[in-house]
Amino acid sequence: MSGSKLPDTPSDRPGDETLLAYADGQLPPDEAAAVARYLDTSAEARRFVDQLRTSAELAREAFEIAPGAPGEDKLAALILGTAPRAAAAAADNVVALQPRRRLVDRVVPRQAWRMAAAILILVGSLGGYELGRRAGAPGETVGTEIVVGRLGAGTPVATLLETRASGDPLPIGGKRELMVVGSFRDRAGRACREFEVVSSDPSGAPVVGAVACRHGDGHWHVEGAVAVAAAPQIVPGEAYAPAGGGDGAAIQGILDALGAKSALSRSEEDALLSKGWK
Amino acid sequence: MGDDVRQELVALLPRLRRFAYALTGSREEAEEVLQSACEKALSRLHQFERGTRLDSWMFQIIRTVRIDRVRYAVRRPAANDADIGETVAFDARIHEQIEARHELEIVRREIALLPEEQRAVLVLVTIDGMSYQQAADTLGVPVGTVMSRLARARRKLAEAIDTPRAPARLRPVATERAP
Repeated sequence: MSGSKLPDTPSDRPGDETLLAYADGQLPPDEAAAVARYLDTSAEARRFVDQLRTSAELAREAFEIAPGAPGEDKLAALILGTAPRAAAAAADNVVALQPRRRLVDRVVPRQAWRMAAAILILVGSLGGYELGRRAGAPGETVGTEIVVGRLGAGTPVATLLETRASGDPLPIGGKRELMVVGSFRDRAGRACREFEVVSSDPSGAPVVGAVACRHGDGHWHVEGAVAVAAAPQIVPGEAYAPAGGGDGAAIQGILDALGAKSALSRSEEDALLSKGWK
Repeated sequence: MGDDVRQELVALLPRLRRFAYALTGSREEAEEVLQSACEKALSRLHQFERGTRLDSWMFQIIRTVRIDRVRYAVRRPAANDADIGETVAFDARIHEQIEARHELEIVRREIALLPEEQRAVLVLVTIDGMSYQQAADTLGVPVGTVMSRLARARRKLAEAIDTPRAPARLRPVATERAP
């Protein structure tokens, strides 16, 4: 933008942010008047403001979407509750979830990820909330919060697994909540559920993903858990590659190790919930 | 949960759709992001605080869904709209129209190339029309950060189209670039 033969010294020129605020009409009147006076003296600055305005108009025009876009009505019906829940879409085959966490996507083998040895994992600190107290050997406890092994009745995780439908979050304080992602049966026929600890702020970002199954003793047992990394910055032109295979692969490993069958439908899950998983 | 919030959400859909489109650069991806965001919002409607801005809340959710999708490499490469890149037989009568489409394509590409944080600010302020303060509140950053990100983004856009005085769409592109 420089190079013009301008009478102004660089220090006279308002910065880009000021010229932008002027072009956008977001400067207070007195400051706008001062910028306008400067523009009278600088062809370069006038040209820049001109470009800012023109490019803004183009940007708005570039993403205009005429009313009547495909899916518009469907989405409105979803929001207003006049359509089947997205969860129950596709003929009640799959419990509604975020696309990436849809259990059925993962129980269908996609890759040869076998991480069985690395499965009985983990846990990050969850801010002091003890989610699943159990009476197992201390050595089996990994981390301090979600423990691998039997869950005591009445603990938050056990309550979640026993009583909540997939997609129905259970607040646990500390800006965290628990949510079941999906239910399935393992190769032994046990009822199992994948669940997450998620941030309850608007981001809803998962923090920990875990799988638990209901054993013959009537208790839920956490079979494995993985920490979920913070979402990265998106850098255009650079493909994202989860470090170390990613938590998705780790969860897949847990599912593989259990021999997870297809995800239960909502009606199947509802039936188990109503019967206490028996 | 309140039907009034749902109604408000439906009324917001055109803005949300455009936001998702500008953020993703693809109509198809935008629709998927928007649907996921709406599903997520519906499951968390009880968390929405009445009296706060529903648009800001939804924009945050859309951004998160978008980041989530990229993160898991679910996203297909953002394709340009099919009707933009296609060959159009030259015809003097539609010369002006072609140039206009070309400039819109340049703008879309430039926006797609921006760092995500700059693109988010640009979409909120320049395309959606939020004030700097509203954008800062939505993104959870100081207003000064919004201004500096926006200035960098807008300078790139302005330089890309380089339109000194004449109405943008009546001039050939990139023939009067500043020295």
